[in-house]
Amino acid sequence: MIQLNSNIYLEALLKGDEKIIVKIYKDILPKVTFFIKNNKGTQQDAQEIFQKALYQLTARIKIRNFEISTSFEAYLFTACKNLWRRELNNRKKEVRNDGVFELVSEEHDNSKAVLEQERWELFEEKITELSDSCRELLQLYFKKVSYKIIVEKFGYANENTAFQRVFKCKKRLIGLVKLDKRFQELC
Amino acid sequence: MLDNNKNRDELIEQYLDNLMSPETTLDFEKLIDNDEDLAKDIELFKQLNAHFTENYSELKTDTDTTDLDTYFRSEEAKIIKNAIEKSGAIHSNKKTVKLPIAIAASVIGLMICVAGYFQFSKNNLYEDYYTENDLPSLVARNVPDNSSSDIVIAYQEKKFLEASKLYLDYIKSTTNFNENLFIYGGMTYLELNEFDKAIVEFHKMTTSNSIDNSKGLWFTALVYLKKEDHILLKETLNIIVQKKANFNYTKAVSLLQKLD
Repeated sequence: MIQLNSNIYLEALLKGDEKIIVKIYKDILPKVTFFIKNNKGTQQDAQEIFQKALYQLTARIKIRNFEISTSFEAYLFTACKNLWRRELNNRKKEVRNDGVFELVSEEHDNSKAVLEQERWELFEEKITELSDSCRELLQLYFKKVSYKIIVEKFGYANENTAFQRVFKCKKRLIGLVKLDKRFQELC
Repeated sequence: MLDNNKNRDELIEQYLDNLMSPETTLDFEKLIDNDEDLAKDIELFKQLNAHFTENYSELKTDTDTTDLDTYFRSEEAKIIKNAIEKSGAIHSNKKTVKLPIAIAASVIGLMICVAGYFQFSKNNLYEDYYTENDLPSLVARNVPDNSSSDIVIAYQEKKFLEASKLYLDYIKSTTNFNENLFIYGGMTYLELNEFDKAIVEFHKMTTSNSIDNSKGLWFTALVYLKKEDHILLKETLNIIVQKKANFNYTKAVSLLQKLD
């Protein structure tokens, strides 16, 4: 694949430049399709998620002056993964038929998905700024690993110490999020 | 009753982990209602938990999205959306057209294989069918481009290793790629007997929007000819002969006849 500068892709999206957008499909959609097909989805699902991710990206460029800090491919793949998890969650809710469905327009649903992606980026970025031990501890905690195992792994005196340590790390993470300029807009 | 000996953070954690008694929970919620900072902290804790545990139902939904909503409702956004969907359809059509051809060609190739029709050598055929005259000219470009010229010169001087290095540097650095260079890149790899890499470059040509994109098919056929991979060679030639407008249609017909 020829790696074009991310800005070229972003400009092409805003201009509706079909030649370059087709190239985006050709270069990146297969990877997204592979992920979605391996996670309970179909080719059609992959195409729809891919289109949504590209479309939502245009809003971020127009409204937020968003710039991609990684490669375009890495960004788009992650955005598609997040959108697919979101879609699976929505489908689960429909199957369970639990709770009252919120009637949301397509436009507003796209806006919500953009916000969720932005929050995702903020939280993921901030957790990497923690110390290695805090980050590892929180990752285990969020995976719902039991305090008993955490105590063994980190050599804490008891579960109460582990509990307090998790909380301190969470506080630290929250402190970092609050200091970020995106916090007021997103949270 | 709230335990006054516990600090605020401990209470937050107990509240979020549902470790409070119903009575204490009610007291704490009264406190939250009267303390905006506490309410914000709790909301953020909840958001973090929801985010990292992928509990989407807990994600905050009341954030103001007016600016985004306005964009998504705009005509401009609809035009962009159409372009994205149309490009997706173009991409899908390219794929679906290619697939039956590939399957048909594979079946033909397999039948030929079973019948044992490949008792011949094609080394000489490669010499007969490859000519430098088929290579594209880059002279007509309006903008002087030293990098692409260097690749062509290195190739013509048979400095293939140098040409391959220049080609790699070029595709990494340029944003204004001349598709004809795919042919030079592919031929450079072919001369170095790096067949897989050559096929990749010619495939890029075939799937490009260049008016000469069918050259990619012809040069792909040359790779299989040199490799003596008669199944894929015939498969590729069969695709070329489907359209008279394809590059080297006549040569493809003639080569197919010789192979048969």
